[in-house]
Amino acid sequence: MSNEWIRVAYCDDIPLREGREVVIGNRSIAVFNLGAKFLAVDNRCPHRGGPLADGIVTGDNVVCPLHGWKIDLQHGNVQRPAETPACVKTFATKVEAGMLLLEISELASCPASTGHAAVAEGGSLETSKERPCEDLRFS
Amino acid sequence: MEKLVVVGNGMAGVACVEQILRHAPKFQITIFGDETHVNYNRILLSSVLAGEKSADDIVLNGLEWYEKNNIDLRLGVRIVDVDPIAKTITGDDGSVTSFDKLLLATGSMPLIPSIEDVKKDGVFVFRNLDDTHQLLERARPALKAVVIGGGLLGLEAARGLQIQGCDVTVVHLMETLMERQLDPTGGGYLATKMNQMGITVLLGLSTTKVLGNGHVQGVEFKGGGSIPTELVVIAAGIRPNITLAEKAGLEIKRGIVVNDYMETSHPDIFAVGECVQHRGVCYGLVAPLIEQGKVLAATITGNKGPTYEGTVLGTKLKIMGVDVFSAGEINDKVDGSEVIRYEDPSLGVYKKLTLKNNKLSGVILVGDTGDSHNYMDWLRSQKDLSAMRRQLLFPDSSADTGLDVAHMSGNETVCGCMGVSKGAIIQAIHEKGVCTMAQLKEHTRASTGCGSCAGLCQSLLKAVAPDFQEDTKKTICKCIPFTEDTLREILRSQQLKSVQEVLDIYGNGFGCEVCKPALSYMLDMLWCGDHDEDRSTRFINDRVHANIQKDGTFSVVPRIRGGVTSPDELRRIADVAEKYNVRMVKITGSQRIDLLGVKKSDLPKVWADLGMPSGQAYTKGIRMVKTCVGTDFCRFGTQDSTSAGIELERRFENLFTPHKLKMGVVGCPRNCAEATVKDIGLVGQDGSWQVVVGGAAGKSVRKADLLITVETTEQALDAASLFLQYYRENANYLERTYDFVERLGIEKVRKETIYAPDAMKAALRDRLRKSKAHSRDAWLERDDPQTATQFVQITPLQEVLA
Repeated sequence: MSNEWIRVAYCDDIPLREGREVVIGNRSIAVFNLGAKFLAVDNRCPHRGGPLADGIVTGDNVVCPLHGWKIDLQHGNVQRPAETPACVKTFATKVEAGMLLLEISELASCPASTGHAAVAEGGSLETSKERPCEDLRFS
Repeated sequence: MEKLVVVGNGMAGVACVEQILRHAPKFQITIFGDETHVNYNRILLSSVLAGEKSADDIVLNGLEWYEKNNIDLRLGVRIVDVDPIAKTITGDDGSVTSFDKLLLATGSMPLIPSIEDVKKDGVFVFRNLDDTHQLLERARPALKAVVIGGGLLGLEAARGLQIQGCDVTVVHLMETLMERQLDPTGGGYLATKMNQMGITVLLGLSTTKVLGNGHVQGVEFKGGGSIPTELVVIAAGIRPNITLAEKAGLEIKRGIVVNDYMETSHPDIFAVGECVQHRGVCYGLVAPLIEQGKVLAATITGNKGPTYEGTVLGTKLKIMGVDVFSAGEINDKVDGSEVIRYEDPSLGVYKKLTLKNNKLSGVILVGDTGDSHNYMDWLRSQKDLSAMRRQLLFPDSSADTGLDVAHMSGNETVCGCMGVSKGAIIQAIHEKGVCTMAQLKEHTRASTGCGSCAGLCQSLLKAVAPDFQEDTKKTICKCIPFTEDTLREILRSQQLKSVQEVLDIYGNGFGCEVCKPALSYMLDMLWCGDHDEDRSTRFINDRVHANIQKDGTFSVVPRIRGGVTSPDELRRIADVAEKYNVRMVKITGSQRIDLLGVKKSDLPKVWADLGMPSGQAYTKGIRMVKTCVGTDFCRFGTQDSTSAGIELERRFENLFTPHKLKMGVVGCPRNCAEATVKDIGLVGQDGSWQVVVGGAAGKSVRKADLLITVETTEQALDAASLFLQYYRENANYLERTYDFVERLGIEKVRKETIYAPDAMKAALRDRLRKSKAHSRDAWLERDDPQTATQFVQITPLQEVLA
């Protein structure tokens, strides 16, 4: 599987603690500026497809603007309602020269999500161990 | 079983029967009442007249109570004769009833001063429920009404009529209002307050004649002056109703003479309430009746022992916005009296304490009666106050908060009307498992009189009852552990202006979708728009000023003030709908036009093409004013509702509120634009506006409460402004006006808005003005976005091969 880092936006264009929609090919991705890091997930709530980029950020989670599902942006799993097995795909991020980069492995379809986090500019990239999101609910 | 016959179905008679029933069953009881109503709370008639309570609300004992206690209730029968030897009474229906024991609880009758032609149509007294209903039938906006008598009852009647929209003048014989309870200074403060409420007060005038041909057209005064009026209410005092007692040959002075055991001069005839005279005093308030009833119940059931020693009277005027309390000796010229006084004319506060030998002998409070409880206790207990001389006028700043319940002793009275002590309430809580106000009222009768002790009862329940259901405000969410009241106080005192700052210092540092918008609202409101706006704490609707739909597109509702648009605006709306492929154009229930299915990135362009301001249909803020066509076109219209509605919308638009706020203005009571189910409604009538608040026709349906009736449109807009700002400052986030008004009670809302001291009203108006000055049409952000990417969808910086 070939991984590709794509420069998606200037970091300044994503306001602190807000999300923005980035369209790559035919895929809509929500990127979030959490201050110390940027996180990216599929811009589609597993509930009714709500635009996660438009949600309110709470900690490392976002709350979907349509019906209030809460999604963990690190791992993509649903925090609320509890015990919901569905999850959204996450994308690894990193910051280089004031630009945000996303790691896109395959644009057409995506298998099990990976947990990745980018630290702010100048820091080292920290990649968490790849695990299916379902497991994370119990961790 | 002995036959006990009670003449009088009022508060005194029935309260005494309640006490009798607590002793072992002994009597077969019959109660006669000349009114056709079951036992009700006469003190609250003024609240019925003021529209604050309905006739049902003031019922003390319903029919089922009489049935349950096997009481034979004979309503609508006036007892006209009594034979003390044969021991029978005769009703005006010819019925003759025999008794073993007779209880006279005949109360009192209105005192009618000698006024020529007093029997004209349009002249009323204000004594019972029927009088109240008659007054309510006659009262209408702009009707001129004169109340003769500036005592407690007269002022309450005046206030009730004024709330119904009447133009009221109080004519008082003496130079001081409520002269039996107030000194000239206190009376002056009260008169000022009544004037501020729009009630004219004429002092030192003796009414000599009712003018008019058949129906009242005016009243004439001694010396020749006169004023026009269409309604006269006589509230010049009461006198004990002693007709029957005279026929029974009882000893009578002003009232039926009773001793400390509540016995009359006849061994089998007893008397209680306003009709009796005890140690030279005839009482006209509730508390003594209750105390007398307890003693009499013991005596009549063969448990003679307890004695009635007279009552220290405390009087409270029950007019919202006019706090008056008086107790004990009013005359401060008694030898050895010391007077301690405090006055603040601009706040309208006057306090006077009279002390004798370091003990309280009299109190007068006008404008602030928060400490009346303390003073009443000092009066009753005759506590030595020498150690607290410095704090006498401000004894306990926490008095209203309920904290003082803990300091009260067990035998201290909580409910002055019903004579219920703290100890009795605690006993009921422990022994009967009382844990709600309703149960407390049922078991102890506390808080069923004037109701002013409700707060104390509530705090006592909260402190003592193990199962008390907390109904105080909860915290917003787990992120920040304070109630909204406390938070507002923190934000204000700590001068905090950004949500993140608040969360960092007082919360968990993160916040959530619940507290962030709430805190945003609070900051905007507290600093009148001059805060650090952080859009990340706002819901998406308030980031892009449109309403998100289920597919992630948005709806656009331009402002169409009062629902009045133009061909030009309609053309632009149509053009926009075509140009941006709007999926649906919908006329809303609020007389607005909704363009549904607009992409976020198109929003700024859509707004620019429309060239109209935001209708704010997406936010917790001022939504719109719905209007009818009013006098411009409607043949029934009595007020220019469209102009008033447009002006109302213009004044309030762009402001944030705790929850969405909808308004309506109608030109006549046909209510075509449904103003009575709006958060704020203006209902036009001939020559006046009713301002109504707290209505709803959504998830809840609630008819709005009448805030005030005023003459001019400007006055109506001002009353609406005061209510709006008060709601903005005191409601919890996401609390609609219908919950807010219901939680506080319309009386409290009136008191703190339209009847607040001038300084407070000016402050409310000022803060509203500041907020309004800081607010702006959100759609102007089309040319001046908050961030470069406020409305855009980001495309990658590099080309991506799909």
